[in-house]
Amino acid sequence: MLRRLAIRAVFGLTALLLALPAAARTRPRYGDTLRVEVSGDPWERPGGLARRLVFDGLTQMAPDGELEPALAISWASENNDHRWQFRLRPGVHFHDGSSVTTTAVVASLMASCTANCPWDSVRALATSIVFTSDEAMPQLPQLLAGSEFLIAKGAGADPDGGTGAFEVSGFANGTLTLAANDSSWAGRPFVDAIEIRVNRAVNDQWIDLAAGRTDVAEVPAESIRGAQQQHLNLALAPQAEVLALQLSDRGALANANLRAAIGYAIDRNAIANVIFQKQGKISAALLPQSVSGYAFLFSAERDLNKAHELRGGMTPAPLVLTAGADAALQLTAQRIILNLREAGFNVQLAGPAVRAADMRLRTFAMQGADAAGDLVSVALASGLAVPAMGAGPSSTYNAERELLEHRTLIPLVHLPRAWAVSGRVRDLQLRYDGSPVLEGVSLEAAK
Amino acid sequence: MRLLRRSMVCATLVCFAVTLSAAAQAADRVGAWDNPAADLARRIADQLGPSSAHLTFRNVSGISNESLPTIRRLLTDDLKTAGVTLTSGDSANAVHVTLSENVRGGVWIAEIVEGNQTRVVMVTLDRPAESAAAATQKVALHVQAIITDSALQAAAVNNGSNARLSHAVLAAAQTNGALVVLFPSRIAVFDNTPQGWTERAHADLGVGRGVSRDPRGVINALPDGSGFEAFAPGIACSGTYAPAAGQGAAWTLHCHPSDDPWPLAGSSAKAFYNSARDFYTGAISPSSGFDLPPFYAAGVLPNRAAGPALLAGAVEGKVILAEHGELKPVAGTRDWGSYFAVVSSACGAGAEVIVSSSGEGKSESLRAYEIPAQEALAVSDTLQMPGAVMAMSPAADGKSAVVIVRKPADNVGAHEYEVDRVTATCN
Repeated sequence: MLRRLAIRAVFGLTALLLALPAAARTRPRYGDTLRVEVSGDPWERPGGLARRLVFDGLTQMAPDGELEPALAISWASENNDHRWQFRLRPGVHFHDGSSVTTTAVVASLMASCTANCPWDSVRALATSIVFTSDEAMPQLPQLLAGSEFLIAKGAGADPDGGTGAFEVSGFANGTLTLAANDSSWAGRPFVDAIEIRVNRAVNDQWIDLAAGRTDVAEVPAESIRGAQQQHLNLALAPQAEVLALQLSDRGALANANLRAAIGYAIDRNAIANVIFQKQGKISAALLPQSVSGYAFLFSAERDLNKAHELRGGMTPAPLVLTAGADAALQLTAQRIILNLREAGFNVQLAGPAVRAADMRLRTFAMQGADAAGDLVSVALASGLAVPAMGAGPSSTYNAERELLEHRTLIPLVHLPRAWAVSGRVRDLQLRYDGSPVLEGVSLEAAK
Repeated sequence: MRLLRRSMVCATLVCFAVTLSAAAQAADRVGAWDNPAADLARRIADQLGPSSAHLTFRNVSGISNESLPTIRRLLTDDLKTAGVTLTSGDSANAVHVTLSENVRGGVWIAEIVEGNQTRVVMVTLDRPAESAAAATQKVALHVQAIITDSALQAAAVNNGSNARLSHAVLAAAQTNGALVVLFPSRIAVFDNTPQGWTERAHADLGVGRGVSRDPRGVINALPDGSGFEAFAPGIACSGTYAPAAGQGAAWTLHCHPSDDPWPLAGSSAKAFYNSARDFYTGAISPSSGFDLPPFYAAGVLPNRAAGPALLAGAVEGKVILAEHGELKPVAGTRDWGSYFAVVSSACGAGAEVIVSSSGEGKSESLRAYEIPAQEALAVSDTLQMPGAVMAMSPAADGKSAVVIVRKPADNVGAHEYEVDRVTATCN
């Protein structure tokens, strides 16, 4: 009898605990699987979604755009920034259990930077990695936070060889599965696993989000307005990347006046308002106003008369323009071709694989809040010479003006990056470049 | 008619008060504009030399309109002092000043046009700290900032590295007139001196130690005033206080790897902590014969009819009382967040539970509750906090709570931490 009463009491208590409405929890919860869908390849360089989950850099950018230690715990420069020494974080292991050594880090950096490196040499020195260069490298710590310098074990692109918060556990049926790394140096992530469904069309991603089949879906800039009208829950990085036209300074465009004429001929307003549905901000500056504070100094007005004047009656050979397969980029390219035709240029659109193009429509991601670092990053990504810079915004402004005066980069629009998330996703933050910090996400329990 | 006149008088008074307030705010900022205005004027004068120019002025920053005349006047005066004569528009030279900003603060830009040549000079301003909104609650709960993020950063001794340290504050406690602060990678003791907060001692927690993405910690000021004990995942620290002549006090800090249970506020009992999942496992030492479910926060309600009871906020959201060897659910906790602290006051039942709200906004509120039986009853209005509550613990005096708040900074995605004291007083 007593035993029965005791059992009843226990069951009664349990039932009461279950029946009682729970208080809201404000602490992140561990467990569960985060489901993400992307339209591209998550390993794509440089910005593939899986890369930052599996690999770490020596440094990293916090969501506020400021630099943080990652695999390096400290760094210092000497000789007017010609030599940098980064001290490696002790006790970090690759996913296979082997220790992260300075030798392995150097091998990875040498493999990832074969051309247009910001340094001349990199070597291991006891527990440090030492970079040297004939040119001063004041922005090296910021540059090393870029996804192109993530540290992988071995010289190849072995996706199993990282130190990140997640490790690869499988790929099946178009879904890449990453498992939480319990011994991550930055702390075990909250979710147990992330499933990334790859090559999924954006429309299908949204349908899956609505049906509860995914937690995170892409929202391209041109679709942000539509997503807002559908009341999707959005995470948005307002000026994550700059869309720019990169011009060759050889062949048909060897004449700088012709390149300048192209800059004046493009109607940025039409691109921002029509193609990107007023989600982009037109600019003739590489760095957004929010990063530099001086973007308004670069005039973005179209001036067809000036374009004709600069062309000076020259009729260059037909030009080839390449753009990514993305629909918005294709539309932008077509719009640019129309604009240039009005200015007397004959332009043909080609696929992104064409290497001998005169013009390339491409985007450059903003890495962080440091304007000088972002400018160097864009210069390196575009293969242009990095202008010398001192401290302060005036110096960065002069460097940006110098970079643009080559007329080989024509900034067009600063674009946001956005993601739609399900109601069970908590604490999703975006980096400056709009990439989601999935290792900081936790999930609400199913109700 | 009388009503109308009274309304007009009231409106006039309100308008006057608003104007006074705006003027006061603008006046507060004058000191902040002095240096950048002088700096920009000097740079303009360096380019122009002693000549005349037409000055235009526009604001694309977040600076309020009330401040603009002041800034313009400062700049005009400084330019005149530097030998630049300002004209009304008939000069060959023009200076276009734009008050702009980026994520790091203000950027004041002058475009100096001489003929067909334009030169640009700039100065930067640090972003002014947001003034905390005045609390407007009726009474009951009062908040007072003990130390702000900027003061902490200024006081912390730099370890020689130029890498940004994580400035997240895990816990804080006041003891022997000092403030002990637990960060993810160090513990430090600060003294409030006439020159401001000064770090007296610190100990590193070690970079090779396993860390967490939701790091937590506790600091327990020892009741005999001899120092404190502190716990963070995988590590325990102790601080010993010794009065010293002249310098005030000497502190000795030691940290060592430890998986020992952490002290529970207001109790001699300790609770085991799961460092991999950032919660208390529910196992209590010494054992009282039963375990609690995993929980985030706990405190002792001292004056219950049946003696003291342990209040715990379980991981899965429920709030429970461990009393008389039984686990009892507490009703009325739907609005509770994950943080609470039990404090004693001279009002009502004498023991209030100060609780964080369940909001997920950029700021949260606190509210005091009493739990006379098995239901939590709100006994105060909500007190709006300047940011998200990240930790809470009873202060050493038992009458107030130390609350760690994370405030959104002006930089997108950035945060600032602040240590606050929240006190419950009688209405």
